[in-house]
Order: sequence, then structure tokens, then C-alpha cells
Amino acid sequence: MSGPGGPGAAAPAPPPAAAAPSAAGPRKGTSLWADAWKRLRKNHMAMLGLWVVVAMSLVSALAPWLVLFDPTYEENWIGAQAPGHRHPDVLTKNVLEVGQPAEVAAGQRAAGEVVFICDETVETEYRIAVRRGKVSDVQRAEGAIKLEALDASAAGDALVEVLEDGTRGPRLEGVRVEKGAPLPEAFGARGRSAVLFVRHVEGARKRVEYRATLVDGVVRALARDGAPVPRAELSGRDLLEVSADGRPQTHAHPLGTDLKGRDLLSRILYGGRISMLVGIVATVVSLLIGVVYGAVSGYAGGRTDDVLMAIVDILFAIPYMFLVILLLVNFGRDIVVLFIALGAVQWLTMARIVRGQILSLKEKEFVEAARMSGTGPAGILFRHLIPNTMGVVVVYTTLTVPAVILQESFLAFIGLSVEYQGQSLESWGALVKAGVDSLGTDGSRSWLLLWPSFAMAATLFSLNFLGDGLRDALDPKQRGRS
Amino acid sequence: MGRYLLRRVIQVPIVLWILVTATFFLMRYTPGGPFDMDKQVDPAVKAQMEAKYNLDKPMPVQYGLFLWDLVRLDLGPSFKNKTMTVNEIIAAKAPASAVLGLYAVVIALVLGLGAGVVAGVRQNSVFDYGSMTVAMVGLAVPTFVVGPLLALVFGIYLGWLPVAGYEGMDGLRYLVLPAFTLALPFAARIARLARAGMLEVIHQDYIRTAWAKGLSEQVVVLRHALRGAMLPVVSFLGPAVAQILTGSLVVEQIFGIPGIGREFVQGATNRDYTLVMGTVILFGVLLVGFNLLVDILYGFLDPRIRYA
Amino acid sequence: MRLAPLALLLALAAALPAPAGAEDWKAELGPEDDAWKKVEQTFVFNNGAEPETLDPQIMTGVPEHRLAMACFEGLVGHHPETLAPVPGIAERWTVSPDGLVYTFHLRRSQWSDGTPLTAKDFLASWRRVLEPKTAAQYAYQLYPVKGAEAFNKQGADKPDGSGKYPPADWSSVGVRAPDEHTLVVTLERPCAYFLDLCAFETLMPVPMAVVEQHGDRWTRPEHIVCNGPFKPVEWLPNQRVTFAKNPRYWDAGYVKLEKIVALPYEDMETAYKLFQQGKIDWMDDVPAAKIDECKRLPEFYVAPYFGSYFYRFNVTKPPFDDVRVRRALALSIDREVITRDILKAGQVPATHFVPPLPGYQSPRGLAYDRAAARKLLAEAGYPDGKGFPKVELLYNTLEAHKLVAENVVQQWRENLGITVSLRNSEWKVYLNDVQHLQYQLARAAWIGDYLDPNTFLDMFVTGGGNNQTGWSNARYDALIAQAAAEVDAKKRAAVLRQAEELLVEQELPIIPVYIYVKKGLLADKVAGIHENVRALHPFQYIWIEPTD
Repeated sequence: MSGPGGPGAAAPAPPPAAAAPSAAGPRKGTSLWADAWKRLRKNHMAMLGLWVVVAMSLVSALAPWLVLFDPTYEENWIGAQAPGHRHPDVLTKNVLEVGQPAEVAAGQRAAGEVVFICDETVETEYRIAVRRGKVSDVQRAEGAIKLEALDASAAGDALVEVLEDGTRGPRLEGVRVEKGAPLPEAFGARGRSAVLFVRHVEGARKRVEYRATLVDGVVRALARDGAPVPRAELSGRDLLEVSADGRPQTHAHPLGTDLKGRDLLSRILYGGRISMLVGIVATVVSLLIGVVYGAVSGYAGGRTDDVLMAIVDILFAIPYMFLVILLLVNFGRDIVVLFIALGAVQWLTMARIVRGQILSLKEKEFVEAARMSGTGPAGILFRHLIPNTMGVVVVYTTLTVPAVILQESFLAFIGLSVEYQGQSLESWGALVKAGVDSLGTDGSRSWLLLWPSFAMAATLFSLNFLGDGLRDALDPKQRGRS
Repeated sequence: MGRYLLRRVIQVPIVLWILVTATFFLMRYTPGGPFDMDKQVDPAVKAQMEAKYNLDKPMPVQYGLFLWDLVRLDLGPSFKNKTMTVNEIIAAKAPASAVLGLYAVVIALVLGLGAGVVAGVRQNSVFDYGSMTVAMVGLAVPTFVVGPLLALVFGIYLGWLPVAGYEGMDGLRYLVLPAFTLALPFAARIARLARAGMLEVIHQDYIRTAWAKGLSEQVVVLRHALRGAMLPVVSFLGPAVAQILTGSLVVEQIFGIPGIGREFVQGATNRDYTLVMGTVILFGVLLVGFNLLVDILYGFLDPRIRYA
Repeated sequence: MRLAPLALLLALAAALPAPAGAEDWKAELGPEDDAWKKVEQTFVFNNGAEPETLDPQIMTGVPEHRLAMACFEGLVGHHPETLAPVPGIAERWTVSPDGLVYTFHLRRSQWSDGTPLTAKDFLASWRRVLEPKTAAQYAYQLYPVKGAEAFNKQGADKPDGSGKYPPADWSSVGVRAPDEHTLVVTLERPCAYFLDLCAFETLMPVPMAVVEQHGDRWTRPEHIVCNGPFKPVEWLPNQRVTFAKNPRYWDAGYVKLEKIVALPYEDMETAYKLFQQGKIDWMDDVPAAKIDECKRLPEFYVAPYFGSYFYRFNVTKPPFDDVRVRRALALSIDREVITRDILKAGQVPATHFVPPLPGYQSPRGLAYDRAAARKLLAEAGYPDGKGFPKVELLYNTLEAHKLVAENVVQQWRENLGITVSLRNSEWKVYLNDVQHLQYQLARAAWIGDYLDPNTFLDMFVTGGGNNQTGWSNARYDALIAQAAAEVDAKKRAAVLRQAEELLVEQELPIIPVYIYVKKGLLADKVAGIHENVRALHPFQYIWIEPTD
């Protein structure tokens, strides 16, 4: 690189790295990379980054063997629950029929006796809007049906308010809400404008116990509150408790669940698989094409350079998003198409950067020296020039992996999430996007944004720190200085 | 230099021709047409509409007509927006995108170069770690997270800035959040590249010589090292401008800005062939232009690169 | 929010001429006092998209339709609450006993440039819609008129490839103007919903002189001449369209709003933030993922909508050529899970296809019955789903479709033991695949064009453009044809019900899933927006109340 005084003002020393691969002979064990590793180990941030990347990769790669939940399995009645939520371990529909195999969660099939505590109370949800101090709107939540009044004054009936976090308020018995009238006092002070959700509970609350005796998973006997019944189909949402041979059966979601009651931890681990895979494969594709292309173009110069760079210009001038969208639309959104599409876009920048480096490197004296000592163009290119671009290439690679992961998330944002053989794959990007959308104005459900973002950011962060560390470690001019 | 530039300028129409041809056929052979709707159009009526826009002619004829119009700088009528030509749409929307992009580039350059150069000079200092950490946040968090969060905090909670809309040059307030959102990842990249470039240069012998000569730090950094540090940044600027234009797709959507990015996305989904061609051509011209500019800048910063 | 109770009092078939003192109902819908006069009458709303055009005869979308209602008025209008036809440019009308001849008596009204609006304007406008060179996508809205279809299709290729349609003469089309203020329309056959069509934008009058002078650009604010309650004054693309009150509107004295601003934001998140900042008064949808939050806002409203969400089968290919398989899949979806736990806005789980309508009772359809579904699937040769071929469910890219599809697939897996994979396609690709039967199962939706079950049921006739299932049933075709010829409303409804029974209880070329709702946010200060199944809210009835 040139100093301010022009080509002659400074005499850059031949970068040792250029000679490193070949010079490894005389001083075995202190090759560039061994040396770099030594230096890298002293860089705590980079090492931390390395370990995080390794750990994330391992955990993601091993997700199918680590994870307890199917990341796509929906338990819609649970909905979005905060980290640490526990609930009975049940299926959406639990079917017990005497003489038939029990359709229950895996943990209960092997048991001898399974007990389900079921809430069979009939409940209907209503939305009550209060405007200017009076009830303006009473509507059944299901089917958006308008009512003139909501009457829970029958014996045993009650209204239960559903609080904002989904839990229940106290029972209000004998209450009647009428359109046009003020809200009954039992609800307390509400201000002039308010909305509340209530469940109308018909009759007394009914807790029913189902006791099933299983032999080899087949139902032998079934009783409802002690009386034998032939069959029962129990909805997951109605079940309050389940035990198998006296042991309570529950599920825990360490990172909570999403809007459809899917386990967030499982989704993050599986999402990591997709994001990492896309990031790494696309980057390798771009690296291979970009470095060779850029180096050849820069070194050859002249007409070849013009033609090669004109091609890059043309490809650059095709709007990247357009290219990827069209490719995904035409060839489907299979992950392989995505590798190619993203990789094929990324190599352009790599090629330009490498070419830029080569353009300035090839004027240097050490290249001239190599040429005079009879090294052919290929030798100069691959043994002297390309190794010298590695610093920038490594830095740019560490920028590319996160960039590709981000670009994949951009595609997820516009609805083009990846698929593999028809199965929709949800990457971190898709999870983060879902998290942004479900984040409440008051900050509610923040875990849906926080944890996927954290996983993604931690990985990208680590990659970047690692890249910086590598850059410092590989910097040939520092070699031997420490 | 002059001859080199001349050659690059001659290249421009060739590059653009290849671009428009590729786009033309990619677009035409993508499934679905501009008049496909969920309520099936009677084939007779559809034929009438296709005739109105010359879509019933053989593809080579359509291509020829398109090129002829293009030569006359007529991009044709929009298929979707029935009252405007593509020329008018671009004239109406380009300013918003341009102002937004310019804002973003300035923010990205100022923040990125500033942080990157200082971090490079003060390697391993608190500022180095701090600014690089912030830069990494910028790189690690998608625009579509930053945008809505900024809007939530500064628009809804604090109520300082509008959350959406565009009011031309009178309403620069409207562009603060979108421009910042758009600039953040680029500022981060520029900061990292500038720092890397700075470190590269700072260990060169001529810089050491400058230090040895006892020149002040400011002089060394600003007069000698900065030019070298600019190289990777400049080489990134071409693609960065392209990516800022692309990034504006998301930002324009989130902040409801009437720009070219939104037109392009809507055009592509509606199969508004003429509008897509128009936006792609605009995009191509900008990119080719910026790449040319970068080349010139590159030569200016590193005189060793000769234009043979 | 002043949402009047949903009252559906439709008397379409027996549309009566407006009785004397007809304008009383208008006064009733208006404000109680003069408080509104003290506040600025500006109404800002999110229209959801950039309008393609303001030309009522060319437009096709809902956002455009809404704006057309601001600046144009047809022969009749919609009652904002009941949707019954109310006098528009036609002061009154009569229908011949056989239901074939409609005579409209036009009021003395004028265009916004002061030229009088006469029956000739309607003749010229309708001719423009039907002229092949206009290429009006919705020209079929005029097909009930005698000779209209033949005139519109003249010279076009016949779909069966047997040459071209013969030329037709304008004089063969059944519209006449015996004098300046009378329009006589003769129909091809009785059409129970013809008056409803007369309120549709395609049948609105356009100023032909202006259209001829400025071509496609005549609806730009600098050129436009219109006859509705408002007139566009500014149109900044993708930014906003602004309307001002049209002082030459025949009932301008009733119009209270001075200014309407329509914003084009497609992103509901953006619109929602603007609403929270108080920058817009009305948005007619809410972000899907924020439904829980929005439901808790006093400004939220929800009402059933005239649209149906369903899945199509491609019945031409196995395994869905077997009606038992189709029935099994339909029987094994618990739709309440979808509406209650996933969509949550109050959508109505449905096993029938036609949304609830006064004067029509849909059949019950196939309710969730997992045991029956398994039995049917076993009969079809796939006990416990064993040996069931690989099938794919196609949907277009949209979060809500994905949420529903994922759940339906899980239910089929759990209830039937079959694996259905998902294919998510970009909109136009999806349309292309569905229209060419390149799918096995596909998500679909239909929004009614006019208030009649026929708008839902006639799409499944053999070879119908919107059938798109490959299903063909002679009895069904006969029933639809029989209903079209029936003048008696009750008998007609019974025939249509039989057709729907065939569709949703016996043959199942589709699986109904739910009936749409219209939900949105409406600022407290806005008055005069009434709930109705088609979510039509004419602007002349809207005003701004002071907030205290």
C-alpha cells in the first residue's frame, strides 16, 4: 500500500505471510496458523466467541437428540406462556375407550393407572365494552354475536373475569350485565371507557375425575367419578391435573411457549440448525467463488479484469432481493435453492474486495521479486497474493456468515421462509419476526422476542469477536512481534 | 485515466441492456400474470385486457416494443396503477427514497468512519471494545426488529417522533427513525471495515516512519493512515449503496414511506411488468453509477492502481 | 364508537319503491344535536392499499370500492345499516311483475362541474363498461341485462375453441332512456339481486366527456368530474388521497364531513402505531399477532362478514377423487380450535359454506366427528392412515393462512394418522396453480359480491371459472339453474339450500372452515359507522363528534 509520497516514498517490507506456506519448512511448528492460534488463545473475547460458536453449533446440530418437544407441536389452549410455565402433560385430545389402546401422552401409556382431573364446566366467553360510563356492547367472543344482556343470575351461574394475563378473577354470582346500563358494582371501578372479558360459568363448577386402568397401554377399565363408563374423549384444555401411578404428569417450558403453545426452547434450538446451516453453507459457496474470481480478475488486469468486473457489475445491478425472490418463486423455497441463491449473491462483494486487495498488492516489490525468480502467474496468485488477502478475507467472512443469517431472516420477514421437502423450516429469523409481531405495546410477551434474538445475536456476536480475534492473530505484520 | 473512464462509460449501456433483458424474461416467465385475480376473470375479458397492454403479442415482439420504448425513455403505463405511467410513478416516488437513502448514507458514514478510525487508533482501549460491541449489535439485530422497537420507544412511549408517513422535505422529522434504522447495520459494517483497514495501515513502515519523524498523532492519522483505512470502506460503499436501496424495502414498509422500494415489491407481487422494469432500471443505473464512482475514488486514494 | 346493533332487514327481491317521506330514515341516522358543528369535520382512515384508480368501472379491489363510494353514486345506494337499496340518483323505481323490467325515475342532479346528470349518462356509461376495448374486469356485473353478455364478448374466442363470439349491436342490449329522467332496463332473466348490483361501482355513471378527453387519467384530481358526496382534491401516490365535500351533490345538505383522508398503509403494524398516536380515526383490520391486545381496547369492534374461508380439494386426482376421503378430512377438523385459540377475533367456525343471511338457512354440514372420520378413511382403504399417499396443502404466503394450515395438518395427523405437508406460495403463483388444478389441497376464500347465497353457490357449477376443484355434478348444476329461474324468494332459497347440502354434506369438493369477521379500530369521536355484513360504510352518513 502506498504512502502519501507516492510509490517511492516508503519501501514496504515483503509481507512474511506471503512466504509463510512455503517457508514453513525451515521452522517447523511456527507456521503462520500455529502462531496465529497461539495469539488467538490470548485473546479472551475471541476465545469466548469461539466457544460460544462451537457450543451453539453443537447444541443446534444435536437438537433432535436433546430436545424433549417437537418444535411444531401445538398446544393451542395454552397459548403464549412465560418462561418456566408448567402444565399437565396431555394431548389435544385424550381418548380412553375400554378395550382400545389409550390415546394419551407418551409418559402415561406405560402406567398401570392414569387419573385425569377434568373441568367439565360449560363456559362461554364474552366481551363487554363500556363507553362513557355505560355498557355499550356485549358480544359473545366466539362468532362475534351481539347480545342485549348477559345474565348470570340463574342459580349456580357466575361470571368470572378473565384478567389480562389470562388468569381468572373472582367469581361474581348472580350478576346481570345489560346494554345501556352502568356496569354492575361487583366489577369495581372501571373508568368511563373500558373493556373486560368475562366467562359465563353455567351452574356450579364441575371437577370430574376419570380413572383408567391400563394393561400394556390398553384401557381395561374406565370410571368417571367412580362410575364405570365405556369411553371418554378429554380435551387437553379441560384437563387440570393428570397423574400416572400416583405421579403427577407435567410439562415444563423453560423458555415459555409461543402464541400457539409451542415450546420456545425447542423452537430456538431447531431454528439454530436452520440459521447456522444456511449461514455456513452459503458463506462457503460465496468464499470459494468470490476469492478465486476476485483474485484472478485483479491479477490478470486489463481486458480480463474489465470483462470479469463488468459481469460482477451486471450481477450487482440486478437487485439482490429481486433475484432471490424470483429464484425462490420459480424454483420453490427449498433450502438448497436458498444456499445457492444467497451464496450466489454474496460472492460478488467478496470478489470485489479481493480484487481491490490484489490490485494494490500486485504492484509490490515482493511480487516483482517472485516473478523475477521465475514463479508462474498461478504460483504468484495462489502462493503470494491470495494468502496476503487472508486478513481481509477472514474479516469479511466473519461478516458474511452473520450477514447471510440476517438475509435469511429478511426473507423470513417477507414471508419466504425456508422449506425442506415441503416442511416449513423456522429459522431464528422467522422466530425473531414472530417475536416482534407478538410483542405487546406494553412490552408483554417479550420472551418471544428476547430469547430468539438473544440466541441469534449471541451467535452473530461471537462470530464477529472470533473474526476480529482471527484477524489480529493472522495479521502478518504482528508476527514475531509478541 | 481518461481512456479508462471512457471505456467504463461505454460499458454502461451494455450492462444495462443485459440487465433489462434478463429482468424482462425472468419476469415474464414467472408464473402468474398481472390480470390474475382470486375471482377468475372471464377468458374473453382477460383477452381484452391483455390486448390493451400488448400482452397478446408474441414475446419477441413485446420485447422489441419494450426496447423501442426504452430507447425513447418511455417506460410505459403501469398495469396496476391505471392513471399513471411508470415514468410518473418513478418521478413521484424517487425523491422519498433518495432523501431517505442519502440520510442513511450520511449517518452510516459519520458514525461508522468516526467509530472505526478511533477504535483502530486506540486498539484494545475501552472505546475500541465499546464501539465494536455496539457495532456488533447493529450487525446482529435485524432491521425489522430495530425499526419497530425504535418506533415503539420514540413514537408511542416518548411521543417524540412520528411513527409513519412522509411529508417531503418539510417533514424531515418523519425520516429520523427510518434513516437511523436503515443506517445502523451499515454504520456497523463501515466501523468494522474502517477499524480493520486502520490497523492494517498503522503497522506499515511508512506510518512508523511518520511516527518516528515525530509528527503529531492527528497529522499521522488524518493525513497518512486515513487514506489507507478508507480503501476497504470505499470498496464496500458500492455494494452498500445497493444494499441501502434494498434495505429500504423493509424500512419503507415499516415506516410507511412512499418510495421506490415499496413500488418494486408491490410491482413484483402484482406482476406489474412495466413498473418492475422501471424500478430495476433505476436501480441498475444507480448501481453502475456508484460502482464507477467507487472505482474513481479508489484510484484517487491509492495512486498505485494504474488504469492501463 | 357508535356502532348500531346489527339489524338485517333485507327485502331485496321485493324491493319497494321508496315510500313518501322517505328521507326520514336519513334524519334518524344523523346526529342527535348540533354538537358536531363545533368540531373539525375531518375523517382520516387507513384504506389498506394504494388505489389502482378511482374509475368506478375499471376498479376491482375493496380499497378502490371504498373511495368510489365517496365520489360516485349509482342509481341506488346502500342503507348503511341494513344494506337495503335506498334511492340514489334514482328517486324511485318500479319492477314489472315478472321481474324482468326495471323502470328507474331519476332525480334532477348534476355532475360536480355543473352539467346535468341524465339517463343518457347511464346509457353511455354502461356502454363503456360493456365495450370490449374498455376491458372492464367486472363487466359481468351487467350480464343480467338482456344482451349485455353477448355485446361484451363479441369478437372474443370462445373457451371451447369453436371460433369467435358473433358481433353484437348496442341496440340489442336491454337499456333505454325514453326521456332524460327515465331509465328502463330489461333483464335476460329474473335477477333477485339486480337492485343490489345497481349500487355496485361498475354500474355507477361516469362523465363520458371527461373520460374521452383525458383517457385513463381522467380520475386524477385535476381532471375528475364526479357525482358523489365527495370529490378528490389531492392524490399523492402511496402517501394519501384527500377528498373534499362536493357542494353540487344532490343531497349535499345532509353530508357532514368536510374532508376525508385515505391512507394507503398495507402493513397493519404501521397503521396500528398511527392509530395509537391518534393520527388515524379508523382502520378496518388489526395486526394478527396483536389481536389479544386490540380486543382489550374500547375502540375495537368486530362483526360477522360476508366471506367464507375454506379448503379446496382437487377432485380429479387420487386420493381426493374418493368422496369418502374428502368427507373424512372434513369430519376430522375441530374448527373451534382454529377460531377460538388461534384466530381469536370471533370468527365463526363453520361447516357450511354460505355466511348467515336473512331469508336463507344453510344446512348444518359435517360437524367434527373423529370416529366417523376414521371409519370413512378405513373404508377408503387407509385404516389409521396407513398407505395414505403423500399429499400437500397449498396456501398463499400470509401469516394467518400459515397458522391455520399448520393446525389443520396437526389435527389430521392426530385424528387420522395421515401426514400432509405444506406448500406456501407467493400470491400469483398460488393463483396460477389453483386455476390450473396443480394442487391437491388448497386454502381458499370467497367474499360475496352481492347479498345472495347465489354469489357463493354458483361458483361450483361445472366448468365455472371459480370452481377450480375439477368437481362436476349434474344435479348441482340443475339446482343452480333452477334457482336462477325462480322468482319466488322462499322457493328459491329452498333450492339453493339443496345445492349447498350437496356441496357441504354429501360431495365435499371443499371443506368449509370458518366465516370471516370484519374487525378493526374506530376512534371514539367517529359517529355514523354502522355494522353490516359487507362492511360497507358510505361516507355521507359519517360525522365527527366532539370528545369531552
